Amino acid sequence: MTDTNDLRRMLDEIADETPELPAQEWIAGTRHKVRVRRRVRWTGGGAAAALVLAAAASVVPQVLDGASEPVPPAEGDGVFPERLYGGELIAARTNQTGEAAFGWEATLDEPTSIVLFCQAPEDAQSWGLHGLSRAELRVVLEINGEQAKVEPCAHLHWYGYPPVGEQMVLRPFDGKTSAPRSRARSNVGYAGDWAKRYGWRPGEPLSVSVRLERKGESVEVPEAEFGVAFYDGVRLAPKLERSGGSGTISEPETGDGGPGPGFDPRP
Amino acid sequence: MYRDAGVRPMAAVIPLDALLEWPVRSRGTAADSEGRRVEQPSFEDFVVARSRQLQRTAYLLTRDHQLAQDLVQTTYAKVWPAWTRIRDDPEAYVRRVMLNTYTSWWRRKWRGETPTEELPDDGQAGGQGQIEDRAGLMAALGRLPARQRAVVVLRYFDDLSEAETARVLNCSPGNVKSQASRALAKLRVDPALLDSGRERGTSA
Repeated sequence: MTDTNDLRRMLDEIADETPELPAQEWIAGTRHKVRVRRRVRWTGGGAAAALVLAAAASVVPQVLDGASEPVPPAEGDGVFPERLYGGELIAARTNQTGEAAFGWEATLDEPTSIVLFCQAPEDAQSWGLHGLSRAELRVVLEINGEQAKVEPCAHLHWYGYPPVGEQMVLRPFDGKTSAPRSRARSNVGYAGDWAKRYGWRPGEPLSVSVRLERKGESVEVPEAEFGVAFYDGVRLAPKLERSGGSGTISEPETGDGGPGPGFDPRP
Repeated sequence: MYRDAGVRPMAAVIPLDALLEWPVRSRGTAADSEGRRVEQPSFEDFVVARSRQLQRTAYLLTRDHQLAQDLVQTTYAKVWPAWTRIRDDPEAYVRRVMLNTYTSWWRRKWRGETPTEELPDDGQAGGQGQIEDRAGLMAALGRLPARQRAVVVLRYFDDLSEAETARVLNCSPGNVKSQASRALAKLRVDPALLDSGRERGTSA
């Protein structure tokens, strides 16, 4: 190979080795893959249902004073329930084992809420990072290169819903940055703001990256699990009220359906 | 994301002009980045017109026919549900999704892909020297980092400009330029290509 013309010619020759598939095979294959992906989502939904039950179990004992049987969190994207606060899971991604950060391109075409999730081992020494406490560990979400959200990590054996405090809601972009109807949902972001901030429109791919950091610097924490999920149809914006180091999800303010009874995410 | 309402029926009749030329402006409309209504090819039209080229690109990226088909198929499965909402240039969008998918496969090493010195004999016609050249180039491509390989394929196979390549890879044109320059420098000194060139020179 002596110049780029040679390179072009050789690449063309190599590419010609590709067998040709009829268009209908591509289309049939696409339908098949979409069906499989839906089925995977439903399977994930089953695991998520177990998680929801586990969360419910953490609530019921407070009422019945009975014993609960903890259910370990599901693997992979199953950490996110299929339905959350009236919303439906439309896309989710969690880190692979040992993955310190990940990038993801999500295509969203619906009003969307974002839920960020992070669990980390309690014992900092087990990470090989002496002097680092879990309280310093944050999961950071970036959207289209902009820092969008930072959340503290829960401990590794935390059962229940992912934290949903300060959730952000995307609504269909109408070209206007209209004021929200009710400021009661002060933790709800509006589409106009989002479109401006991230240069995003419904249906366009959203470049998402998630990583762990401590005091503003990226860190690798083996065993940490973290991820992000997008939900649509979330009707409420439950707030995470922090007091004395514990969090509770407040009752809905508007009463138009919602998450059901509040619960303490820390057993 | 995968709502039936967003999935077009498969039993669409494919217009003949879709077989002949791209871009096909046959059905559907979408708003461009400035909100204007623009005609949009149907997904089926796109598949008919562009699958071959996408598959060729995918083969150069993955260096494996099955993986290439899987890469294109996975890309279609990702873009299909959102097809009617794609604005501006569907091909650029599809390429971008395909390159992102390829990069994520490469990052996760799901496929256990390893560079190889030799390709299996595919029975294709061609002189021994040409076959060695191709095998050498494929081995050399396999030794490039995924990003550089993508730049080489997009720039020198798909003939995209630096700006177009940058859009697909979501980076700056300057980055494309430097990646291409580094990739070419590596290819020029790759032993597989030097050997095949040397052997051809000897036998000539």
